[in-house]
Amino acid sequence: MEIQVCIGSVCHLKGSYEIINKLDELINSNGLEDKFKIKAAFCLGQCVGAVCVKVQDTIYSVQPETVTEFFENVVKKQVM
Amino acid sequence: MYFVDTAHNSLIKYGEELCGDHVELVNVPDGKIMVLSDGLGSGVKANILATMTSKIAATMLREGSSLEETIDTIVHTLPVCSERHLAYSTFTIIKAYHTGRVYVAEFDNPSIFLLRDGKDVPIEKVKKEINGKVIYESTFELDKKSLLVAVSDGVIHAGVGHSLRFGWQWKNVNDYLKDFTGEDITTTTVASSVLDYCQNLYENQAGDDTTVLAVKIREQETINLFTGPPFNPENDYKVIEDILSHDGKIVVCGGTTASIVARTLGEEMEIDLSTMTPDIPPAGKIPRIELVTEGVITINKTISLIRDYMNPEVNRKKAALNLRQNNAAAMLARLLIERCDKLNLWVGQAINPVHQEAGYPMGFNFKMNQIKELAGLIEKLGKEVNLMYI
Repeated sequence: MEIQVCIGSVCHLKGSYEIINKLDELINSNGLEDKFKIKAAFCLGQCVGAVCVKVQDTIYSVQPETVTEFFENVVKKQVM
Repeated sequence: MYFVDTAHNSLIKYGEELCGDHVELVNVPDGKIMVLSDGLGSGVKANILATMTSKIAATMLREGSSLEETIDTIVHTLPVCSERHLAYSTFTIIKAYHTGRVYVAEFDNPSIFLLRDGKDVPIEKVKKEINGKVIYESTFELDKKSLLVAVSDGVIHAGVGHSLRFGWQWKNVNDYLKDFTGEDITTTTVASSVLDYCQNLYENQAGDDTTVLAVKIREQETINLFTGPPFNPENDYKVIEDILSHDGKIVVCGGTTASIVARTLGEEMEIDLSTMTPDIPPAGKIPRIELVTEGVITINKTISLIRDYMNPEVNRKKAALNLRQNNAAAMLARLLIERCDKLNLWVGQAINPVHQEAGYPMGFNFKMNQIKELAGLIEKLGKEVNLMYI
């Protein structure tokens, strides 16, 4: 399953770099590297909710502080 | 019709902050005029003399003045040094035409180097006296395997007082340049290789201002840089068709712009995460597009890389190293410096409302100014730039 993280201008400024690295870390430490693949995407069109993260056609608004929460509540639920 | 490919760069005399050599480039309809001058002494005085000489010469020749008038003006304009009671700056004037024809006027700089296909080419020079100054004029033709190089005496003397007793010397520089006549070698490579060599001979403490100006001709390379979605979304398709119909490579800067291009072309966009850095968003790939990057942040960084590259007061090795990095801004800067003779900037006028919000530092006006700055820098590098607002 793909997780797309927007790296457009606004999202970049609001922390996409950190989010990509943190998500990658969380996926690996939970042994889910076979289930998820992180991809970057240019502008997902929802700049108001930067940083945009897309999972299964739904766009979520994630900040560096909420990555762990997002991982637990959204990402993990995809495979449970 | 060829493109005149030129590059120049300098080492500053060790301990000085300003360069006492100056290169001025101007584009004229039938080619390019380049003036390399070396001001008397070093530091501020030399910098002023060299800058004035090359600016006056380039401007007057561009406006159609004769060599005599130009030299007369320089002689009567330069401020006289209070210690040496002299106003003096050497110069090499090169006019290279799009046909490959070249005219050179030399005054007191080391003789120019002309090489073709790995061998040197003798140049016939005509001696001329203007205002008591002895000028050597020459005219010759360049082809795609030719290399023309002008240097300040800092190159010929490289190593004096360090590794070499008499310096690098003209003949040895000439031999060194024989390896650089290949068609695939850009003038940027020539200029930086020569300066790297000098830097080594000087053991990183240049004893004089050291400048290299390299000239070649080649087929024109065009880059179409498309940034920002068109003002009217209904025009997206038409605009992209229009850009694709132009000659040259296509570069897309901007997330939304890239998505529009991918959609119009019916292609998938891939993003190369290995190029991601904390400062610069990664580069993307779309078939048929040379380079895809994020917009405003990347371009901003590209501008500062090009500015550093052009500024002799910035550590040259560091600037060159930064240009070699694996990130989208360096990739864009490299393309624009090395593989672009003509730049068409297609600037979309659509406004992203989120960019206009308070607290976001890079709104629409910032973007427009940034593009103008980029255009100005690329023009200074001696390339043709066209701005098109869409």
